[in-house]
Amino acid sequence: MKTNYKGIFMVFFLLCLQIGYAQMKTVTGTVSDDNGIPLPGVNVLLKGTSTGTQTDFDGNYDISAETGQILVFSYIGYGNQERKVAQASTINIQLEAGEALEEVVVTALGIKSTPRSVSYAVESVTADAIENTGETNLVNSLSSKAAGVSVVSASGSVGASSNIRIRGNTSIGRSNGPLFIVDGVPIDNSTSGNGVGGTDNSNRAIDINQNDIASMDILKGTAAQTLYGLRAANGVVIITTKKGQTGAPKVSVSSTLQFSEVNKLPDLQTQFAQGRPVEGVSTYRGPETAEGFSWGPAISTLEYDGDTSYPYGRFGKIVSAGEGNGQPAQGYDHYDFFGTGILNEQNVSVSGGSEKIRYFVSGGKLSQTGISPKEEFDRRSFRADITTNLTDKLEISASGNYVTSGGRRVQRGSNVSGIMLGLLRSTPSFDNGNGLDGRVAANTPSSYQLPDGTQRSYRGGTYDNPYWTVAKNPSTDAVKRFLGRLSFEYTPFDWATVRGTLAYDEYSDVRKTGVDINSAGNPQGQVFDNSIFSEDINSQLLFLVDKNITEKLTFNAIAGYDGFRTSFLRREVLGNAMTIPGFFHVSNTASQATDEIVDRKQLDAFLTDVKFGYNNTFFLNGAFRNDWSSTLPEDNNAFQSYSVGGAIVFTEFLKNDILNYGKLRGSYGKTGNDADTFATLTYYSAAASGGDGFIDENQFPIFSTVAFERSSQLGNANIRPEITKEYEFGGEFRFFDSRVRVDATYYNKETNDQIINVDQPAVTGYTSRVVNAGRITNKGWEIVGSIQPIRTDDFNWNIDVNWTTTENIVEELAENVESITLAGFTSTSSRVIAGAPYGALFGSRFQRNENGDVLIDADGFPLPDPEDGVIGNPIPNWTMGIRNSFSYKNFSLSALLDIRQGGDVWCGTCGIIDYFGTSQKTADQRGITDFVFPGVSATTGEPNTKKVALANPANGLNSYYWVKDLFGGISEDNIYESSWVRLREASLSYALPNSLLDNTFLTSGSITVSARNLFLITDYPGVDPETNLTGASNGIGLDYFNQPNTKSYALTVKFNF
Amino acid sequence: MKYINSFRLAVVLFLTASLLASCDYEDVNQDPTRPGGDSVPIVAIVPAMQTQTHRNIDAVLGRYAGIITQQWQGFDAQQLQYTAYVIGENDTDNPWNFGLYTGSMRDAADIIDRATLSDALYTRGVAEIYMAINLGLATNCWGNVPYSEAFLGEENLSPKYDDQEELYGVIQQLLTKAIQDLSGNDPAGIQGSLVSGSPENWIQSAHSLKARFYIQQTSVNTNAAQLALDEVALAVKSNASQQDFFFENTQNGGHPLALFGLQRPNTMIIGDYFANLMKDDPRRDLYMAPVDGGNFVYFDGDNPNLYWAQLDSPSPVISYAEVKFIEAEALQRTGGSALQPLKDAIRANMQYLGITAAAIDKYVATITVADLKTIITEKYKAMYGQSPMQVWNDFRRTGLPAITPDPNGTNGNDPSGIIPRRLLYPISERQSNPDAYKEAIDAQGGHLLDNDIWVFPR
Repeated sequence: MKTNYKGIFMVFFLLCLQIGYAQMKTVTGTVSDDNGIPLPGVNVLLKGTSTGTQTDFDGNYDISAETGQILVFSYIGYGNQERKVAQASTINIQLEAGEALEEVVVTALGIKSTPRSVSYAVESVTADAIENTGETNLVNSLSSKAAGVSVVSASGSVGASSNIRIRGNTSIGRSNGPLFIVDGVPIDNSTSGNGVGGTDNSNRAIDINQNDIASMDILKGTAAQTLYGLRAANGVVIITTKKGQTGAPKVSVSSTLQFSEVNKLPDLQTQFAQGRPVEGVSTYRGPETAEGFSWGPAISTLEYDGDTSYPYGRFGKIVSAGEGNGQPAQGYDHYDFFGTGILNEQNVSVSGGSEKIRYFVSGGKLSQTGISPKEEFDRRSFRADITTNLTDKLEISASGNYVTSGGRRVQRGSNVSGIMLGLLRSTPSFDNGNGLDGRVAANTPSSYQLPDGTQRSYRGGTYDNPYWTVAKNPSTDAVKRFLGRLSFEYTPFDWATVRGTLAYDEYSDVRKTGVDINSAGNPQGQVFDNSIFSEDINSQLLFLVDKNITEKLTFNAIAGYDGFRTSFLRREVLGNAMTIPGFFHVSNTASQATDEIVDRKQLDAFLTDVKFGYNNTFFLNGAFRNDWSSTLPEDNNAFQSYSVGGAIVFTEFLKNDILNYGKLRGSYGKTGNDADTFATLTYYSAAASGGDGFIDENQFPIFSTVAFERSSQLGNANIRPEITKEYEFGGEFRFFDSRVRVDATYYNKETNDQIINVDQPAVTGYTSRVVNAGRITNKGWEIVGSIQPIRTDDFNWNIDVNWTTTENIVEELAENVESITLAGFTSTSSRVIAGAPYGALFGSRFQRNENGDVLIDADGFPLPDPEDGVIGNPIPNWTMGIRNSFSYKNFSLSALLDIRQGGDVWCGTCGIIDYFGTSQKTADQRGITDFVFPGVSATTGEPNTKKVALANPANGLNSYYWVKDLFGGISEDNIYESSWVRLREASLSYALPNSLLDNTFLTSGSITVSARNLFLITDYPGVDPETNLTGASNGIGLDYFNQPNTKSYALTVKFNF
Repeated sequence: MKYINSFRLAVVLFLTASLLASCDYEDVNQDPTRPGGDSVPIVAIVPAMQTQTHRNIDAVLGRYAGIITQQWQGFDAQQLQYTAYVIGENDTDNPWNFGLYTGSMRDAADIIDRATLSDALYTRGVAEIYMAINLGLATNCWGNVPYSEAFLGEENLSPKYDDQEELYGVIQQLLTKAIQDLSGNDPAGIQGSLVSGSPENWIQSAHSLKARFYIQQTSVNTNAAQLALDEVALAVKSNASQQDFFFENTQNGGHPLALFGLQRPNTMIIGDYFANLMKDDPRRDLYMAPVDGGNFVYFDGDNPNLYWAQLDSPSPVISYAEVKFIEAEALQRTGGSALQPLKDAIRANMQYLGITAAAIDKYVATITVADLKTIITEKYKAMYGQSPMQVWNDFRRTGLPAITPDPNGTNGNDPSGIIPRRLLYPISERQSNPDAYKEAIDAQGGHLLDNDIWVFPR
């Protein structure tokens, strides 16, 4: 396999090399500003082509061009200049500041527009900004980079999914993630399988190799998305990949080595041993009792008996001091389980082209190990992108991207095999590794296995020893994905273009989860095979017009067809009861259950867009799209989206010395959305006897019998498309020759008539039905700013800031539908509730009087409320990203600070480790005997003064504050604000100087050291609060034994030749 | 020029094709992995109804009943919380929604409708029996529950709660109807049943169940014992004619008690009271096994003797032993001679479990009085594992056996800390059927664990 890969690569390489030697000349020169200071990063483009380059740090450039071609020099804050290539091979240019601003943003359907003409917010993220993030997942690389964009990674597990939202959540039942478009074609960014237990699975954007990306543009509002229709209901991330440019082949090689370690963990105690009060006395109860608590005696009062035959500990059984061999018992730090994860990434690309053909070929290989032993993620990507001018007027292009990704995942969450569950509940008096730690322990069976093959764990195999679970419960996934695109662009006249695209995104995802015999999750052993096949086909045909009606009046128009076909198939086989340990094949299981899930849909759309500009000052545009969706009732399956917008660059007629550019913009859009698939009918499905959240269902066919039963969801043949309306206003202001820039946007979005699956009383024979109901509003401000405090020849300092505030409220739900659960547990969940913020945390709470004071029972403890309610808002008040970049000669330094204010997270982990008495908090507070709970007496209404002992052994375990109510405590007690300040990214780059490169074959090179999550300041007591139990799902703010997050350090070396 | 022509053609074709394609999506939006209701025969629904019902008996509702009556106790996590009577509105959602109403009762209602259309009398009779069993479980737990307006889908989105007194009438009517149906003529026979038995067997079981639901009314109906006695005369006659549902020896088809033991290891064990009570009982080793630390577990994956904790353990529709216990109690209450039926009940239970004849004789010889305390205490021992709800029902109407409340049992769900008298209505009803829910709570004076239901006053 490996040789094939290389072979294909070499063939391409040689082919490209041949093509590269067309007859061209190289033009070189220096670009400087009006003071003669060289300008780095100036765009140099061959007019009428997409071929171009940028000036280096010294303002120098070189470009291959033919005589007669025109070079266009552009730079932010400077006027454009054009020069025809003549005999001279040197063209030096002086740009004049502030005259015009010819940046380009990419808007819907890949249309490049000047920012001044756009009537809605578009934010660009450059390749530089995502290059040194140290993130494997493309989505994570967008973190804190753009206003209005929120990214929350599920955890620090390698390959974990990430939840990305643009302007908050709008939909209850379906994904709220944006549409990802690569070179004009939507790609699949779905996730499959991120439940409250199991493993962290990837979102499919992880298959994109970030080294292939040239830039990303983020469309946020409905008006911006009209042309994409319903799939873009939650924003669009437009990715433009790197392309070949006419010229000699350029080879770019980069290599990264990154080290990760865990960045934050809950505090655990090491003072008190396993045990519980027995007849009023804290008593040691060892692993053989299978008891789970660490409410035993102080470890300092215990010693070992030295019995080497004792299976649970190498120093023997733990006994009271004086009864053993005198060796004091030890408290263990279980966090030595985590080690250093290593990421190793290599990328190579070759690009170039002739007049007729341009190409870009790249290969990337990434392999990563996690902070947990045995945790791995790998990705290999191979991409080719070729564009050919068949005639002057006809260009065809094709790209193909083959990716394999996947790895070995670790168990997490609500799952007796979960690493954090077993690890954090482990009593400090038990040594999980039996003298070993980290990868060594995981590779040494005697650390987690007893001689009889059963498990060595602190409570007799009730929860998996973390070393056992990583060694014995492998969960692997292997994705093979192909993304292909064929397009043509025909330009019969210089003002008219026909563009057609056919694209294919197909992947298979083969997963296997093994649970070895004697595992806590299934002592008989289990094999779970899960194979996913997904196929998306996108087709598009567009007619584009770009014409100046008069000298001052410009006109652009688009009309076209957009089609989408998707199909998804998942086949599952669950085999139970293994005979041969460690052999994870269905043939080794005594009974099997199988399932097959299909999902499919078709969309067709007609779209049109017109745009007028006057004098480069006034702009007006309107867009319309009609969609037909297969998921809607046949007789009512069409719906319309439209938008209008306008922009005025008022500085064109209000010249000002301080404000060199000012623009106001506004837009309004309405878009629709279709239903879930198969929601119009009521089905029957293979019977599964459930009704018990603690055990698996009895899934038919069983008893050699087939059985079906009516679905609990009532279909609805009368559903209508849902409607989202949004308006936004914004202004762009640039001061002092664009050294200070501000871009502010206010948006207000309302989604009505959502197609949702609402709960209905089970007594009707159905637990849910599909209806049009509900109203959700999203409004907020997005402010982007930048300052260039210092801009000199040698030293530059840029500050970029983005600030976002969002209010995301569920205004109404259907009649008699108080809430809909998005994710979580029966005890604590993330829900949509009328009148509450989207995703509100819901769970058990304390009883309160009208003033909000907690009611205290006669025994001195707070009284739990028998009715659950809203206990937290997971949506932050505001978020902010601040990037400081400095460049001094060949050095550049960049630091991205990420600040989040507010946003509640339920630390379910905290409640449970308090319950078991393993948290440091319970060690500190278990001796308190005079605690007075704040609140008022439930009987008298007077302020509570009763002193209570928090954990008095005399009253038994069930009297302990952390044990007495619910398992894991009252949910409200474990709601914490997740506010944080973190140094999300920091990097220091050194560009190899010409003096060094001149005598080599290299044209440029750089060395970068970078770090991720270098520091994190937060009051949250659990793991890094940037976490989500259910990954990229709609439910948010849940932390229940989530895998911890990581910080990392990397070294990257890049060479171009 | 060639290019241009072909492209024009392509464009025209493309557009035409796309416009045609958007007309008909009919098949695309039909799930090929699930059938519509019309193609599902009655024979395919009966196994679903039966499996869910027998699961309900020993799944979460059974565990609550068993923990409350101290046959089991929590050892960890949620089960420990339930042992201290922290059983709230969240904890009842799952069995109410998916165990009963949109579970076995949905299936039973569906079968009754379909069987009525196709004149499948026998199958309808069986479905009526199962509806009665499930409605009984529901009203035992919650008192007033919806029935008369239930299962109507969109036609009634807020079904009212029927009074429990009426529901006891409905249950008897269902069973009477079942007996009629099973006494009729149905050439199709009983369709799809996983429980073997002739119509006559089912008729006996129906009478046995009638006796069970009459005896439950001893606190509110002076005639209850006599009514029960009348039914006992027509009830199950022997262990051999007792109808059992058998789970299978796979995890997928496993008995809920074994599944809980396997999948939630060491979270629930035998209650101390029950372990003590069974100390010298020949059934002890079939019910429990000792472990380090002095406790007894009800489940041990390596112990094939634990009768009710095997994946393929049975679940009786109603046991012959229970019928005899009902007879004994009814006779005791009506002044008849209860000793022989009590001895028969114990003997039947022990024989069913496979206790040796010698051990049975030895044990039965120790039973010399048949007062209510002895009858209910012996029934408490015999009913272990097969129907925990009946044990809780007996406790609630007789106060027997005399277990003491958990010392830490006072909480928001059980403000007085007494041994629970009922369960809270589930949160889903509070949120999606609020008016009927409030009405039901008002009608019963509350729904916390220490509120009585009509049939079991203190």
